[in-house]
Amino acid sequence: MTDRKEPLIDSLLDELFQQKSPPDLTARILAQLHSPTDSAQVTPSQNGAAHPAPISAPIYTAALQATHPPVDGPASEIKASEIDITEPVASRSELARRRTIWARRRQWIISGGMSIALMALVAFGAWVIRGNQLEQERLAREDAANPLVTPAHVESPINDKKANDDPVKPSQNVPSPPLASNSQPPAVAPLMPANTGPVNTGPANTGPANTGPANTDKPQIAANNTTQPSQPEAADPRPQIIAEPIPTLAKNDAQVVTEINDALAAAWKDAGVKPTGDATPEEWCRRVYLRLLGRIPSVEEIKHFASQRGRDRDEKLVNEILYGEQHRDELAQYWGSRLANTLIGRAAGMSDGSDVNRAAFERYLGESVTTGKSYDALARELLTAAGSNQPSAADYNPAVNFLGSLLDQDATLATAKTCQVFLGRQAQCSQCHNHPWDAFDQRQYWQLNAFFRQSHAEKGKESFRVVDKDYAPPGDKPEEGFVYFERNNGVVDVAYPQFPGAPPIPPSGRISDVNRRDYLAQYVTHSDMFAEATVNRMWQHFFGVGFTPLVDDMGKHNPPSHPELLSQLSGDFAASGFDLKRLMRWMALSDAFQLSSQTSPDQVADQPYVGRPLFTHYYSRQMEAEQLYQSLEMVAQSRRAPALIADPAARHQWLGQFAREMGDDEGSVEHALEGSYAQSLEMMNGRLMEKATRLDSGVLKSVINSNMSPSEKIDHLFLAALARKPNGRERKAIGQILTARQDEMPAALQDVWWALLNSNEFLLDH
Amino acid sequence: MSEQPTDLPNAGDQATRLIQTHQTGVWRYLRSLGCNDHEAEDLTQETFLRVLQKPFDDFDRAATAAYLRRVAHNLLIDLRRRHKRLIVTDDVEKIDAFWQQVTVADQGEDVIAVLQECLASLSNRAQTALRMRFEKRKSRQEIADAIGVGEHGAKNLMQRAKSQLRECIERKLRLEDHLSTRKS
Repeated sequence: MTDRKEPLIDSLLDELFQQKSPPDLTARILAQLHSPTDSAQVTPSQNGAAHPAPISAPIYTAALQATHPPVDGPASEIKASEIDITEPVASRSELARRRTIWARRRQWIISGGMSIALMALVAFGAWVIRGNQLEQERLAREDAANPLVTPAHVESPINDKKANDDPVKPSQNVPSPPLASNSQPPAVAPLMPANTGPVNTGPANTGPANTGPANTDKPQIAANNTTQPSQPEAADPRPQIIAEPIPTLAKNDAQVVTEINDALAAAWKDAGVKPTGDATPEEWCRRVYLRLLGRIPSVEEIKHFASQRGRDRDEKLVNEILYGEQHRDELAQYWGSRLANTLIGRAAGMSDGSDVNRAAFERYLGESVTTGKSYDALARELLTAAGSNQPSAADYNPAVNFLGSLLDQDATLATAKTCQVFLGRQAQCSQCHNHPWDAFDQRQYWQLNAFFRQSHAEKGKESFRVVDKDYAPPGDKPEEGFVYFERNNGVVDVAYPQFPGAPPIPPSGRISDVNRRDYLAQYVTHSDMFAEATVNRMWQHFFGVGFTPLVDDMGKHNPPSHPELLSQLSGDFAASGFDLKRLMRWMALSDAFQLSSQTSPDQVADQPYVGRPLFTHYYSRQMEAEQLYQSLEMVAQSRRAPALIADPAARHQWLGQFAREMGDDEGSVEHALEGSYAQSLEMMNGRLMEKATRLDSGVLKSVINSNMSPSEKIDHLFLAALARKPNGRERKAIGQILTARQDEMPAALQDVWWALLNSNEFLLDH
Repeated sequence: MSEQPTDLPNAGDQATRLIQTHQTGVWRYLRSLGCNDHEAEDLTQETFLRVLQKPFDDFDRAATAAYLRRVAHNLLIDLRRRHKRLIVTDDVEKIDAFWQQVTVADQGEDVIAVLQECLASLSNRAQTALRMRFEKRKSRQEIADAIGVGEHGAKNLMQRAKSQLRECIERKLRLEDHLSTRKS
């Protein structure tokens, strides 16, 4: 009978035509107020609707008692339904008085019962704890008797190899077609040298167990892995997520690169623009090192590259950096740092007192990249991580640094950050209202938020532990694990966990019924938005501008500049098993990445910073703080590998001075390395610049002590700083300086070197 | 049920007055959200029990009515959730706005009176269809047969008629401005 379109008119027509009279409920309600203990027995059967527990109404009950004098008679014999508001006031008042006494007695009885039950519960808890202690003592005695067996082995239901290869429980317990396809090793690209491919990095090095040089990490992670499967796996009622299986990538890398080239060439033709010429080999070499390793190349590396002949020298360099052993640690450091910036911001863990273990987190992320862990597996680990971020803890897990820093009271930061980082969507505005530009409406936001409600960050002293607990809404049971939210008009509504476009998951908030973060991780990594957001972010890293003006704010309001290319690349990336290194390789070897940064009048239509990028030339941009630090460190050091790996504490201290958390809902960070006074002062007089321009170390020392002619020395310094030789004008000016200061040649060279490092050209990735 | 003008001095009588002043409005509001008679009755009762559980200030009629509707709506959500059902209408905000306007003076009696006037302005076929539907509980097919159209025709006819009724009521109660703003 009810019409979804006009429910209001329906109800009125029904009332009119059926000649319904609105009921007078005054007597019933007052009777309930008057007799709270009987109300539960009487009213639920009246119409069949569910009722909550009996309600006491102290104010109005007392008022009624005061109004009506008492009469004799057993209160228990009178039912609430029999009370008539028109009966003599004396009998009703006495009835009320007696019922109040009975109610109090019942309350005492209930209170006493609850106290006894509580004491029994405490006793039972103590008995269980004592039992556990005895068991642990027994295990410790066994360990002492057999030192070859570590505690992790004792507790672990799975062997170490399995834990190291695939440490995240959800990917083991929720098998689904896409996962199966993703877990397959990606097809080996013909362009990739057989001895440098990801499969040769060694299976023993895979997985987050090797998250750093500390030897203690490995057993600690293993111990953590043993804690997660403690949930009953056999009785796991979770349904599989239905998703289209992702086919394995049938194309080789050369074909994907050709696709990129063709798509951009077609866009140039459509727009009537011409691309600029190719960059010099030295320029290209410099930008490859900056984008892949986060530093400029050394003079030796530039010369080595330029001296090579053959069409495949570009591929060799990219493969060497991505898959070679000599750059492995640098690659891990740079990408660990980059990913950490994206996930937790530049400021988290940079200052004393921060509870984020940034060094461990960067190590874990960097190792994940270098060992070829698929990006969806990494995302799942981050979204489902549990344990402590303190290395000495038994359940140490560096992956918790992501969510642990974001799990506030309502997990709103975690919700917004997850949407932003993994889905490329802004969602925080939808927390309060349906935002016209946000990808999700308010209900969807809170449905996403509900996935995090079982998770809590227990703060310790400069550390935290992420734990999952049963979740129950305020005043309700865990079986109905919804979240309340207030709509813009003040109406309070509820939302159950549900990923946008996916069916709802079981509503229970009990961990034993459903671990919501497992579901979320599966839905996120199976979403088209996941691959698109990753490709878009990576494209921005390589080309300076993403397909959308803001890579964290994709959606209909920000249409991509090259939608087909984005879609195609996203599909290829997913089909490659979310292989980040292959994605980097495709972009680094594309024609657009080869282009010079010089512009011409033919490229007026190419306006990257107003949302119309055509990538007709390489967009020059300032080095990131991490790249600048690492580049200055490199030129300051006399020795090459492995000294290029900076001390994390010193690096964080230097980088931390430029980052400041804004404290807003988005967890934004203000970054001062964008032409600020702080940057200028650091570049002119900072500790790092002083170190890089000392006469007794680094590039300057090797140049001064060499047998090179003054002209060759200048060439070397230019090559080291700018990856090019000086032009005629520069050569002439510097020659005059050196001639005038022949007696103090080292100091003159030092000044030239300082000027080169403070030039705009050095600061630019061009 | 009529409102009884009261001037009772104590809290118990204030409760009585509160119930009698607002119960019909709450009941109608719940029915317009899709409750059947029994549900509306029980939830109305429950609403007042919840509200009277703690003392509150009855500043003015409109504010109290809005508060009661909100409590009633939350109780309905709770009830639907327990039964694993959804609220039939997703137009709660519009319905809430409607009752906010019409319960300023009374508990919706005016609306019923206006509805009768508006019904008279409909075509005979539309009136017949609505009468068969809401008075005699006839199925859509029976209505279609009676007025000589297809089932979809009967459905469209009734939907158009109801839409006209809503517009007529809004116009007569001078709600056009308010509701059109909300729609936009």
